[in-house]
Amino acid sequence: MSEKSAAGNRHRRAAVVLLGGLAAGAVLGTSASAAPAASISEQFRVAFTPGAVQSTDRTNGTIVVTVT
Amino acid sequence: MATTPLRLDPAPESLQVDPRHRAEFPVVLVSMPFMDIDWPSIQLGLLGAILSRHGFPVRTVHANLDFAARLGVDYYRRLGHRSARLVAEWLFSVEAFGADAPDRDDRLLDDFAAELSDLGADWRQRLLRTRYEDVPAYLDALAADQMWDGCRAVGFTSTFQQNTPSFALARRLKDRDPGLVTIFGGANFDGEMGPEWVRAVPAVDIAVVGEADTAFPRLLDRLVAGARPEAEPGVVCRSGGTLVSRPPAPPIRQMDDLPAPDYTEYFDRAGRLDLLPRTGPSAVRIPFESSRGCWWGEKHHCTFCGLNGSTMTFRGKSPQRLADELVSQARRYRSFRFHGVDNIVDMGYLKDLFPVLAEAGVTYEIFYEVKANLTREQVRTLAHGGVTHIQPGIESLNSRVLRLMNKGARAAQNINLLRWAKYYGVQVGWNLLWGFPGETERDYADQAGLLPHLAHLQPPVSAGRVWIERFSPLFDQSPGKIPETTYGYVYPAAVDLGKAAYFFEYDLPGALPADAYEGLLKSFAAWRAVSTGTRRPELTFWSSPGLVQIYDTRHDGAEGTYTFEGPLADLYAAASDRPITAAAARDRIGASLTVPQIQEAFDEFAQRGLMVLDESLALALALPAGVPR
Repeated sequence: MSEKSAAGNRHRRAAVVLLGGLAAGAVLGTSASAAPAASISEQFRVAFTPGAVQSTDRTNGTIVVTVT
Repeated sequence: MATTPLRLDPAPESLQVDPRHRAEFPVVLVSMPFMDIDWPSIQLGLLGAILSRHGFPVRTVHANLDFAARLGVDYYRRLGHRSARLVAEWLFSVEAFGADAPDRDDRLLDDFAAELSDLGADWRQRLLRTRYEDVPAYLDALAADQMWDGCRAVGFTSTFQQNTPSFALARRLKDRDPGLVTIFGGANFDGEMGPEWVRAVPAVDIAVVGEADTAFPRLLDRLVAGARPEAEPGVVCRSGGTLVSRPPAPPIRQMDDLPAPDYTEYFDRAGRLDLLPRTGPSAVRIPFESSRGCWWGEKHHCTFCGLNGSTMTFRGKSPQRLADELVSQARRYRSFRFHGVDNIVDMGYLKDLFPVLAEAGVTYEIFYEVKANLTREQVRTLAHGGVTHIQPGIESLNSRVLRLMNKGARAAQNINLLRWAKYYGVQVGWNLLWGFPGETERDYADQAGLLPHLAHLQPPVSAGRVWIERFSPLFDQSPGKIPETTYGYVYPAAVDLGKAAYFFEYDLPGALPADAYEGLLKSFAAWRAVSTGTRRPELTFWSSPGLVQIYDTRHDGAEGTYTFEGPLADLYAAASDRPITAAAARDRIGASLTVPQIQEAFDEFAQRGLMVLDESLALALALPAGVPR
């Protein structure tokens, strides 16, 4: 196997691991991201951003919230 | 005549009849008003095909189409959909019973004016005109048709409000030809109802009680041979002034042996009467029957259900047989739309039929009745297999009430079905019911508070008190078993309505006051209004590991987006596929939250209407964004 193909194989193996983790249905992020320090009730208190989506602002599937 | 039939011993084997004699015995099968006009009668289609296979010259007559064409289809439909108030039957009462008809003073119009006013501003005059002008003219034209020339027997199928129209035509036909034999069957003739109609209605010569696939052709063979018809299982008739009957034969097991229904006459007739949809025959739903009975009812009879009177045993067609029928009927009638008349879909089809239909790439649109506790995967399988409309027995969004009904489903499961049906584009026809012994006001206050959070899902078609139907467990519990009031305006006093009626007055003990349901009725009305308005409520979530955003437009003026990160995001995603307990959620998301913390989070989600809590279960209410997968 050449050096170039070996590097390509390592890239594909890394991609398989990521996809495999997703395919297994594991909820990633529990270890990847630290739990927020705020209490549960505080997290809920700040979770909501009011406003309606403007249809003309929806491009490429992104959401733009306009605060009214 | 005695009101209890003389029961005879089981019959001997069927008669051997010369096929040439069968060929000389023409039979006409009729479906009268107020049968639906938008699709053919499976009773006529199937029995017609069975008799034809036996060598009888048979023709079917969808006479309901003629009446709809005369009245106008919208008016016809509005009259026919009032299943539990016999207004449509009342219209034919005079022609059915002549001088014996009750209510010759038309008191029904006064006594039920509040319920009839939705028929239009001139509803009173219109109903009187229908009763005294349209009905006689319709019957005269029908009875004068040449199709009865030479006819030896006429078969009537009767369900819901088809009784008096059928009796009225039978009366005219007997006047025209006293030798013509009138044979009745269908749901209105099940159990002790059939024998009572034979006893009390002179125009009814013979009834076939229970399934007719085998009994009807065997009965006709007896008539051909001049043998006693009452010797046949399931047959009830008068003999020498006595009412005689035999118990029905066991229900058929091998449904694969049944022929495909023949609906040719429906399409011919509807075409001639200009009743076919503007888009042509392909818009007509083709009825099919893939099973009989109810596999859930065999184990746990839903307390309000009066279907399957004597035939609860579940039996079905093989997947291959059903697939063959769908393919041949699609080609024959050039339609891709099908209507399953089964009480409940055979769950085996989810493995052996629908995936095959999906793989084959057929573009059917199928209606099926299903059990409500389907999973996401099952809804997806149905949708991919062509099921576009379902009628699940949801009935309530409160688990306590569902247990009282013996439904075998939880409220969270019902709501989950609504979610995934919406997601996969499957239309859901469902109702909210109340009036079950043991229910509390709290049960309905809770539901009233829940409904606004479901604005993004498909609302029920109706909400109201349960009907008491013969053959249901609630009927057994009814202390008085009082026939529904309008029967008394339709049928002569000589009819024992205690034996003949199907619907009964609600008299169950412990009923809650009417105002216990007002909140739920208001919430139901608001949900319906929102679903048909220009604003489309949404509750959609986007997710990535450790991040969830939920876009909420369910409440006008309170739109916005919730953003959760870390364990709360993972928790919401974990509860989005199906209802989940706090302990199971902890297993899914790891030890980042304790069970009490998860429960606290569930409560917070529920307070915002982002989840529903159903006893120990929690279910996310938002639907995933993106293309359905």
